[in-house]
Amino acid sequence: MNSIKLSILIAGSLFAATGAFAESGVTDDTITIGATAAATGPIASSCYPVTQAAEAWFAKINERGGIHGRKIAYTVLDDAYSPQRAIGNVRRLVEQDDVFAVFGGCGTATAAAALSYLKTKSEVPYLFPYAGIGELVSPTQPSIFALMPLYDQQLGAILPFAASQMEPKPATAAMISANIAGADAWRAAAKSYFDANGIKLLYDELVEVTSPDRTTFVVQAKSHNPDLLVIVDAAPGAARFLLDMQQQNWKPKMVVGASPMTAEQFLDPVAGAADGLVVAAGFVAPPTADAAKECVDTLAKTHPDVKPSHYSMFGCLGAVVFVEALEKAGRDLTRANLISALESMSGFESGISGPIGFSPDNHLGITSVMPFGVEAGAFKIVGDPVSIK
Amino acid sequence: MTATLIYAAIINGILSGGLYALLGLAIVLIFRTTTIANFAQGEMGMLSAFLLIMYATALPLPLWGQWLATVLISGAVGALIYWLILRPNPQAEHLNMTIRTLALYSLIFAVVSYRWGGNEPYTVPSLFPAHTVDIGGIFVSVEQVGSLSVMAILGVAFLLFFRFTETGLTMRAVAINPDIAGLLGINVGRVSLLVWVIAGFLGGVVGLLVAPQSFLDTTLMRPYILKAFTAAVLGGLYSFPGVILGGLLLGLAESFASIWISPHLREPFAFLVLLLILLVRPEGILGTRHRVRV
Repeated sequence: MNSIKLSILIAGSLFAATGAFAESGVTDDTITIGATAAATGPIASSCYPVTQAAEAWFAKINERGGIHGRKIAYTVLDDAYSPQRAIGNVRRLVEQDDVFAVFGGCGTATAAAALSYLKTKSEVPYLFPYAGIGELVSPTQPSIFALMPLYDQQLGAILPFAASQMEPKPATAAMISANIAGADAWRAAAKSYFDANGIKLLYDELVEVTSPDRTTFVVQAKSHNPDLLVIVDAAPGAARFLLDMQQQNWKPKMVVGASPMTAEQFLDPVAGAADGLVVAAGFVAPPTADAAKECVDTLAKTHPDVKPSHYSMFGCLGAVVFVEALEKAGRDLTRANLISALESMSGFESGISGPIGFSPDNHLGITSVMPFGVEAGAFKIVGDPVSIK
Repeated sequence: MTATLIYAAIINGILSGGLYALLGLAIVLIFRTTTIANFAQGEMGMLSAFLLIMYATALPLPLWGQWLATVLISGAVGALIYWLILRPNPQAEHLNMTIRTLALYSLIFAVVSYRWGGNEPYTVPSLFPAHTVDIGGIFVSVEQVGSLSVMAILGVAFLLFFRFTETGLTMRAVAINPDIAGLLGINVGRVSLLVWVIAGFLGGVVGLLVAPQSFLDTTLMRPYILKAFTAAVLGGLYSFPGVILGGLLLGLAESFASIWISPHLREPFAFLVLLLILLVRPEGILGTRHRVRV
């Protein structure tokens, strides 16, 4: 009996001495989270600002003393937009680094890869990647939460708006989609809209995100002379389309795009080629908006070399929502408490997006998109928010 | 297939093929004179493009002057590569030398990624204005015309240099038999150095032509280097006119395949052509069979 009491005493002392907390990635003074992100590679200019902006926001929170006395330690591993590397990264974060949650990151293909692993680790929260894949939120997974409306939801909202702005209404369309996870869903959503509205889809092709060639697709699409061109591609690829269209001296009546086409990484290379031509679905305020100032200034403090953009604003938004959830979860922080805090979030005003809310049945936080247009080389919100289905 | 699509396929095919040919010329040049397959040729072009936007654009020169400076620096980089990596232990086996170029390929990529990869891709200014020319209903950009002109001038200059200049003749002698060339008084080391300088020039020019069209990132030249090797094999690894012809044929074949059949056939069709040539005529289109006395 004395030896048992002694063992318990020793074990308890060790426990107390390490300051160990019962939850993975959480200690008395630190919350450890991680991400896999494209820090290098073909979409780095788009994707890396997502994590850099989140890092900046967390640094600001840490300067103020953290959340309930805990500072946020954010580890970001480079996947160079390789799905294989993304899986390796999340495996390392979960199994070696023992993170509290996998937070953020960017890239649909890599998020899909990360998801394939994290589905087998259902206790680990996966929060707010910049990725438009349905599997993130449908069916609802206990510990997976998204902010970004799916590309099929974005197109479902923006296509009717775009068509309503055209006179006469479009009779024909062409669609060029990045060959990534989720492409089938948004292509189906677009086709459903076209069929319901008597718009004939003349050209529908997939393009590799990492391929530099867009000319072939532009030449083929141009040969069909559609009224409406739908592009769902990464920002550099979409910019390449616009530039190749300019080289081919082709301008359809309207170009409709998803959220990557509300990014400065799309706008800057195309300059005036997008004026009055492009309508795209945005869901976070542009960095030039007054409401964006705090995010922009925070980013400038830690990453002065990073240009504010749609992507950095999304990273900031994710960090803001995460911090809000951590506050709500309280000092007794567990993964279960975090999930409860998120699921009880309703109508949260981030200041840089529409109201954000989750529930046990809905883990997609943003429920409307804003139509972005381009005028005089700058983004402009050209209509009221459009609800997504 | 309409006339418009045919012309578009021809123009795009010649453009791509010209790039493969230029890069292939550098590969064949090094291979003929040193029997080394330079797998870092594409990365040398990528490095040149980064040198342009990171350093050369800060020079108080017009854009064409910055381009020229970058090309000259690219030649110097080629010389440095030869001096530091290929010249030491020149008696090493060919496999050893080839693996050095593979290591160089990885090294350049890693260094550039570390230094500048975080904010890629970058927009690279083009030497040519962003206008379009209407040629009989076919729209061709000034950039395409300019790039084609540069490639044509360089290709012809390259062939004339090797055919009609003393230095070119010296290089051909070293390519045929470096030992005998050395016995005849030719400084083989100096010739090898010059070969790498020219390879640096060519890689730089290709990188600077490709980057404005594709946006610049660390994987810029990867689609081109494999095609350049393909062009070299197609044309015959020992024939300069052959690699130019091989490059153009490859560019046209994949362009027609992608526009006529499917854009997704662009890559597989190119390598299908390579396989067919290797099966039917393994020495390449203009190559000759090399027999070795045993």
